[in-house]
Amino acid sequence: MRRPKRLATFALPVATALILASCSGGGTEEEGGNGASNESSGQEGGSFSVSTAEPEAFAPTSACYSSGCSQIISMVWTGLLQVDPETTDQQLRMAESIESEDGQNWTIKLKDGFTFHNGEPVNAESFLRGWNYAAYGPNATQVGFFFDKVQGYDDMQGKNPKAKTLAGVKAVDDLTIEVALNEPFSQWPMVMSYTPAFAPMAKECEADIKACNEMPIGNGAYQFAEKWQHNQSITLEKFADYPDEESAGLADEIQFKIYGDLKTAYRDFQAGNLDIVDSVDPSQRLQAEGQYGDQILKAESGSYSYFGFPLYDEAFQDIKMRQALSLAIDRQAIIDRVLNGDYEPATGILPGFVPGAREDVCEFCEYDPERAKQLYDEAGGLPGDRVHIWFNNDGGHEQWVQAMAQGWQQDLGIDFEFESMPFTPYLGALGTRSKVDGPYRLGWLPDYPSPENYLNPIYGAGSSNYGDWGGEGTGTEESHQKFLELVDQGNAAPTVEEGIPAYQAAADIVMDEMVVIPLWFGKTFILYSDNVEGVAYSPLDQILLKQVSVVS
Amino acid sequence: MSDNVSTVELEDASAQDKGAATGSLWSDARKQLFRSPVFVVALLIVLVVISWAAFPSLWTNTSPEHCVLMENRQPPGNGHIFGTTVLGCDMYTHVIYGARPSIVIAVLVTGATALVGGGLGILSGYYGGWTDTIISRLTDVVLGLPFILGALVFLALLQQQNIWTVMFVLIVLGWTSMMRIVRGTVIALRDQDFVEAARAMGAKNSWIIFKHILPNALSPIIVLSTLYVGTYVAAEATLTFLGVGLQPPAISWGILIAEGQGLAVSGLPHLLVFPSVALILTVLSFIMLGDSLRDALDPRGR
Amino acid sequence: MGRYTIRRLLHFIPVLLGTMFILHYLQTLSFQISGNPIRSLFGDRQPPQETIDALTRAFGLDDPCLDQPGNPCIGMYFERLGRYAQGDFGTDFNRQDVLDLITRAAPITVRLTLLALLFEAIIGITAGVLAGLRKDRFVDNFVRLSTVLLISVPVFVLGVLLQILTGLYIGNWVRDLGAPPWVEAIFSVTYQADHPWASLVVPGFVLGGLSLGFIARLTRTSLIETLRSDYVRSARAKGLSNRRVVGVHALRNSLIPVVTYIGIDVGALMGGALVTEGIFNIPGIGGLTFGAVRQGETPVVIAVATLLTMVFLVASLLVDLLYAVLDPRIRYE
Repeated sequence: MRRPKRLATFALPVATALILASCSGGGTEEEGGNGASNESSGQEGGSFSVSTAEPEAFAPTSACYSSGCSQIISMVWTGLLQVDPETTDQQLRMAESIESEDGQNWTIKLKDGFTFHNGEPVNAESFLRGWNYAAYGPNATQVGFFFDKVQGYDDMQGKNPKAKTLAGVKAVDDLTIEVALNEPFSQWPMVMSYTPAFAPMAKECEADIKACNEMPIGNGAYQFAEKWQHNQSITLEKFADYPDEESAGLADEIQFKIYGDLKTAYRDFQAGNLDIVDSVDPSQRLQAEGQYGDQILKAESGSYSYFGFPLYDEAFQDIKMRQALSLAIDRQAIIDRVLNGDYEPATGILPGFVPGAREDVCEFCEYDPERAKQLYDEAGGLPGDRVHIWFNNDGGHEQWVQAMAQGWQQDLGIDFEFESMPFTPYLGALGTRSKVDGPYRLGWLPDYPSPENYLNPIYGAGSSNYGDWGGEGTGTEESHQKFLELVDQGNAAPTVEEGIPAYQAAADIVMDEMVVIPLWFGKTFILYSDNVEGVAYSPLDQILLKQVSVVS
Repeated sequence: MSDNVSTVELEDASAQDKGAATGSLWSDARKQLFRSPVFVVALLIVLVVISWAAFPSLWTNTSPEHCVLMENRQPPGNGHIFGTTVLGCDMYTHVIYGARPSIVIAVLVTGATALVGGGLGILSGYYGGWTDTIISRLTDVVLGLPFILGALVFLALLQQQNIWTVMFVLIVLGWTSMMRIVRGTVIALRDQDFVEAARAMGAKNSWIIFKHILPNALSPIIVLSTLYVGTYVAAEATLTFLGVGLQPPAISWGILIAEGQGLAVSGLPHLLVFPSVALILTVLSFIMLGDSLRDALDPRGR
Repeated sequence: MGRYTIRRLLHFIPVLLGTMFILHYLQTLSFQISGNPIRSLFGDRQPPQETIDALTRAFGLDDPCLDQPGNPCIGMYFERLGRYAQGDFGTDFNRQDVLDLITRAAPITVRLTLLALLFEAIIGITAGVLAGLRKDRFVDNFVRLSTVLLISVPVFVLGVLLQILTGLYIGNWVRDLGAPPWVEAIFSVTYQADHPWASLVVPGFVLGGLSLGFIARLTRTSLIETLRSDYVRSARAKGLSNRRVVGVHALRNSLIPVVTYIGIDVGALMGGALVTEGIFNIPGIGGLTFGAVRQGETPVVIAVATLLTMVFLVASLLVDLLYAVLDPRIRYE
């Protein structure tokens, strides 16, 4: 659910192409930058700076939804567990064990010895405090819905809710929590790995949420060295009493410099004021590559871009039309010529690092203008040979959408018109499920590396399925029903691995029906100075800043 | 772009009372103008740009929609004298076609603000009293609202962002300075003998306004308008740069500059240089025209 | 003069109420037409309806009149005025107090504006006077051409070019030299909180550039005109030195339109710093406003606009009062 950072913050939007690429990517291995090897020496101490966008909020379990914000949260708070994005292994942090026999009732045992930065011990009550705060409707948190699978969540919603606490969560003793879900869900631990929603909350914090937002009290490896300097900087220092060697950090001090515009961060880097640029603006990547070729980290990120079809619109109900439009997109050319090579063309709907992802499973994702034209003609063409392309115009999508539209114009002989508007009215139009009369752009960033997270939120029930797949009269009711059943089947499997075949079958249905045009998956473009070593990236924790060491 | 629109304001404050124009003033002015090389050059540039806007196909045979993605961002040469754009279109063609929105916006917005601002200014200055109070306070509200903030709020509301909405916003926010200047001129005129005389002879207000006030207030309106044309061209480009002006696939200098700005400093300067030069030359020429016009119309300047 | 000031201050009230109402109405219409801005906080994910409802309630956007397009929601307007009277200016969507946001951003923008004004006044007036005294000579033509050029280069081009020139080319050279920190700050690429003035010098010039051009031209025209006036001629005839004629008599009078211009410009600079602030990463009012309009954070939009209108009004009043100082013929009663 994390939102591309800087999407609606103060960026100068036109000049940047696709600001999506700032979240997530392929594991800790080095993939890129002309054989960049930047092994960490493991040396401790020192300080370095890294760019970020203004975060939303630090009060735990409240309103942190951008990748930049959750990056800082995951340094200042240590959650129950982390998920290794490559192996999907669960690395327990605060939790001693997380167990369930039926996938519905979970028992979490906590490690002893963790304290908050103010000295309070972290126990079961601390977690309950945070979770109940998040889920309680009148608190109006933006992460509360992560608890919607927990028993008693519904009673906490509405204007005057019946309950103030989650009935399904109990502190059995000081270090044991029991969670009861509404139905079995094998990936519940993965959901709980999302620290911005599942962090513990200190007593002092609960007493004064506002103060805690400016000067957070976490239980993580780093603590705030000073108050949050809004729009300027956030300085973290090592928390001296942090008990967990494994998840401790190397540098003594990390300064997050806050930039409103990506382009400025790069220029500050050039001037020697910044050690790590979290994401170089696409327009500057050519130059950066020329100048700092071996100081760039390109890693696969979880961002997924696609165009949806309004299936309620007759013009797009013929599957050949949907296939034709997808076939007439030269993904690689657009990536090379407009997006500076920083994307991976989609050959499926799951990015490579997600378990169960397969390559080349999308038959209609390659570029084949002849076949496209043939299918387009067979489908009878669009009314007036004219397509309306919908996208939001505050995210820097203009250029590549235009390149895509030019391709349709040339290969299919259709005229195009843009229906572009800011994000709010755009979502409003999509939400009507009737107003949008052409392909619409959307993207996705994962919360946890599970195929489920790429299926249910996009195509499932109550999701951003704005094209109304499975809606009445679309002729797709049956396939959608089957899709939902397969996802449920995957969710109910006792382990993630065992659920994979069902998820894959569900993904196949999406592609067989060509419900969307999969476009590409993002890559990061991280630039670092020779002052730091060991810069690595994970699709979930973003840059692994704890592992970065400072060259002395 | 600190408030492109209201900035020219009062540049000419000291010449406010030059309303007493006569027929011979205009013909004198014309003679003087065509002797000035600056005026002639500026006029030529403006005429050329207007011809780009009106008849782009006179200047280029290439269709602006003919774009080859695989040939994008090419430097000048190779069949494209200005190189190619970010999306592989011919830059020269786009610079030519890009003139139209700028010119249309500049001319129509200038006309409309002159009409609205001039009209309200005359009403406010001539009648005074409550009319003046209401119009002046309204002017304060609009003038106090920073241009960009106002433009953003209006454009967010209108949802659609095209040449008409941009023009609407520029007009809504741009008429105020014209109103103030004209009001000042009219107040000075109102108490002059010939107006008093007409009133004493029982002339109706509307008659006085059209017969006496308007002709005399015309020269500041014209001078100010030519000065404004340039700033409206720049204002459109700024809005477009911020992403709230014209939208692709429209072709405009603002869009070209916004697209090219980042890449230009990364070694592809032609993406920025050509549209910027076109924009700067146009703005410059309009301002020079206004300048010369003012000098010529100001009898004391001789 | 006292009564005049009070009368002018009374004029502020309808203007401020009008500004607030117009913005309130525009934002209300925007909500009614574009839909609830809360939804877009969640990006591409569709959050459950109860989450949207809870947030909508928390931000006071659950008034039923917001579902009726065209309804001006007068009730909400007066509620807002009531809360303002109690010193409650609302919050943005991150629950930051609007007052906090403004008190953080405003001082920075004020400093930037002051520097811009300083550039405008010093360089602009000097260039204008030089040009005016030597009409049609080289200096005059140079000033006229360079100022027109300054006016016609869009600020977003000028800003980026100057940033790269001073921040990178000159800046890297200065840093290699090992200059004192405040000098380095002048040539930094971005705003630095440790050097709140020095690092705003270049942005101040960029912000003031456009007006600098106008002021130079205005001063020139005004001075030329004054020099032709009768009282300057008679002063010369009396045998006063040229320096005294220009310095005391001509200049003082020809500055009246310049002062007017600067007064009006203060408000425009503060609200118009958006592009400059963006380029130099300055966390000021411009960026705050831009983000707030984009996100539909009505409390921020209205508070900032009201504040800026107030600045504009006060500046205009001060200018009018200054007239009396500059021109002894003007008396207010």
